[in-house]
Amino acid sequence: MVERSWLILGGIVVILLILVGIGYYTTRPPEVTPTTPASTPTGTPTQTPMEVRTPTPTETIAPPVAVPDRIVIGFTLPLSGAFSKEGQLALKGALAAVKWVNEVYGGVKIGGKRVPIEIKYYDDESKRDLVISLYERLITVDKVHFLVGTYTSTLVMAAAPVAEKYGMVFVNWGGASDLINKQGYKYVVTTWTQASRYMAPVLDLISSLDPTAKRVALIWKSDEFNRIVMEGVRSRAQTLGFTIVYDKSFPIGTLDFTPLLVELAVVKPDIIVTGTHFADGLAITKQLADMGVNAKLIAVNVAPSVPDYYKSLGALAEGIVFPSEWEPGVWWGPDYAKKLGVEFFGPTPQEFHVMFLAMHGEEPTEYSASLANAIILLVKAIEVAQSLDQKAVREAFSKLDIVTFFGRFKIDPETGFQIGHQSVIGQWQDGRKVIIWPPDIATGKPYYPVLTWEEKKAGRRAIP
Amino acid sequence: MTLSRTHILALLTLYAIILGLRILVEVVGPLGPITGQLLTLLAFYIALGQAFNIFLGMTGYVDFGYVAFMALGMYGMASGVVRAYEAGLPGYYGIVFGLIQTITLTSLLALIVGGIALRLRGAYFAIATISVNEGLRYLVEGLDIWEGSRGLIVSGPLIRLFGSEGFSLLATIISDIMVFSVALLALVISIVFLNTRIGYALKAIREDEDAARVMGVNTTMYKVLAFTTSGILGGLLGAAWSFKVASIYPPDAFNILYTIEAIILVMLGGAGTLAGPIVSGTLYGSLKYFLAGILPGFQLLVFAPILVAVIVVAPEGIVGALRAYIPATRRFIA
Repeated sequence: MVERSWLILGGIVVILLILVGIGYYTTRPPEVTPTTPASTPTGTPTQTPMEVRTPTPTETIAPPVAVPDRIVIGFTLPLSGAFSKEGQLALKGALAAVKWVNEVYGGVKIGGKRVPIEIKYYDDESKRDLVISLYERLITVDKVHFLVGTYTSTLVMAAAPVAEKYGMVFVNWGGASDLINKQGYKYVVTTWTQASRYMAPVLDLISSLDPTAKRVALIWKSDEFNRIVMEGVRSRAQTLGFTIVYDKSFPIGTLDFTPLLVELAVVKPDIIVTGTHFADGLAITKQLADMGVNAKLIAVNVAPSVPDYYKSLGALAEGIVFPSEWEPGVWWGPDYAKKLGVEFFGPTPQEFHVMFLAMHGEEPTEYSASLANAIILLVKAIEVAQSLDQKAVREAFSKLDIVTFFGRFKIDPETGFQIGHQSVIGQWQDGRKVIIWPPDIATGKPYYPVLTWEEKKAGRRAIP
Repeated sequence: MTLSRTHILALLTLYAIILGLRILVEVVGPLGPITGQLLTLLAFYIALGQAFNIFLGMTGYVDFGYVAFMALGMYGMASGVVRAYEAGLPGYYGIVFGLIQTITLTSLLALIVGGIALRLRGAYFAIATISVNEGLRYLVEGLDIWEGSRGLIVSGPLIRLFGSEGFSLLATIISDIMVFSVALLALVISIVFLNTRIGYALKAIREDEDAARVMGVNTTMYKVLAFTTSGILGGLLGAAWSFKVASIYPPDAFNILYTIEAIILVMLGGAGTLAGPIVSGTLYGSLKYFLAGILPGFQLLVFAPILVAVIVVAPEGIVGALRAYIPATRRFIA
């Protein structure tokens, strides 16, 4: 019997080694090879090739601060698990930002030198306990200089206390919950519009389009982010005189909305607003179509801003309205900065767009842009502080009031709450995302009222 | 196996080494690959194994809902702190209140579940406990208890009650020492159990429950006793851990992964042995820590075959195998 057990043990070891091998190859971070775009994207202004400035040695004077040969920025991303889509898109943005800072801009100007940046990241698998241990690892083992956040509020909620514990600046680009900046953290700086102000502009849009559409239905996931998004929508609805005719939540993980949609159909709302992320946002749109629940306007949170939404739904996605932190085509450039009377920093939106396309062969999304923006803002804050000291850089963030390709950046100095940036409202029209709100940066006219599901199934497109 | 003074001394030495290292790292910084984070993980897994060992190891019953105790502990402590903050009381009131809530909630759960489910045996007991865990999770989400699926966020209240530095200490060294105390408490209780009638009764139940019953052992009572003790310890571990996570969401708190890890820890080290959890906790914790850098997410896949191998080659776990094959170790390892 002894021989047999050794045989089994040997077999197990072999299986184990195979698993480890497979695991190693499947979990390696994707290698990003710069690809050239097949053609110039439509809607992108022609662009002169970017000039690559390299650091000049003559710039070096005796550095007043100890400057390392590179500045390492650490973060985790959900490259697998529930938020893998958003995480992978964000990573592409980070790579584009690093390329811009090192190759186009020429490195961080600090202590009279030009210092390149480097990113160090792990896959947090969309798991909170892993986020905690990996951020500790980034701080204590990898000794990164600064931290930026991961994607989605629940994961940021796990990461932020770790950064706070070690007194590390934490640039939050991916957690939109208002609660993050209400915890009393001293080192958390949020760069994008927070949940309470995120989806509310949908109602401003409708008010301007159709004063008779007043009956709003809300259906939302009972997670922190969507709860706060809906609080924002509700309070805006009250201000603008809308009536909430339906307001129900569903637990996290729900993918069958039939019981809720049956109820909702009976109410016959003018406007349907859903609080979702990617997977449930896609599922709820599909089920609204299957059940033929129509409204004058349907706004879906998060999912439609991801290009795969249209790829999965095809014509069914026509006319769907969504909020976004940023979209390609939102040209918040130096002109916008001039209008506000503040400084512009970083690549122009067009530059970023061209560079991103050249690197990844696809258009940037709000996730890619937001993480890229966080890295670029961090570079600016380091330059303002002229120091790698966490306190100094955090103070520099408080003082900043600038415009980047992503929009305006200005925080409440005490809490780190974002007050400068604003979200935009987009709509899928004829297979393209068109910005329809706010009017001053809109790239097209809204299509209203939206097509019914029957019309869409018959192949009609939302062309205004 | 009779416990000698040498056995207990050897165990306490091992504990002292890990606790000593944790404090040393806190004072002088990481010692090569030994970081505070690694030692935190070790303390957590040793405590988890030691606490679960009292039930699984001593009775042989598999509780698939063990994480429910940890979750109640996390929620008990976090809601205690939040309540103290809302009532404007000083922070330590919150912690004391949290501990009281943890103990009450976990012992209630253990008595109710144990009183009913421990009359079931084998797979039936395991199935009943899984449903308790999932049921509790949906109860918290559905009835919106403790903020439901929005999550109970405790970092804000902690920072306001204890200040940034206080929060920092609570989330690192203080919670580590609390986790360690749970492990030590579980060890002491195990020693007491093994040296009294309780240990004999539990061992009799594990080996042959019907025979134990015939011999006049009140099997249900002893099983419920072990279950409750183990459950409360699990709750206390959760309470200590809640300072680290600082925000608690039902899907994470009731994550069955912790139960599976607890089972692995007990089986790997040697069910019912005293040194088992410290051996397996150290092994599992360090492998998980180092694998997270090399093969993220694969530690469970790596552990499944190891666990099968251990059960095939050494059904008594690592400690059992050591005692069987190297007689000299019997003097030190129990």
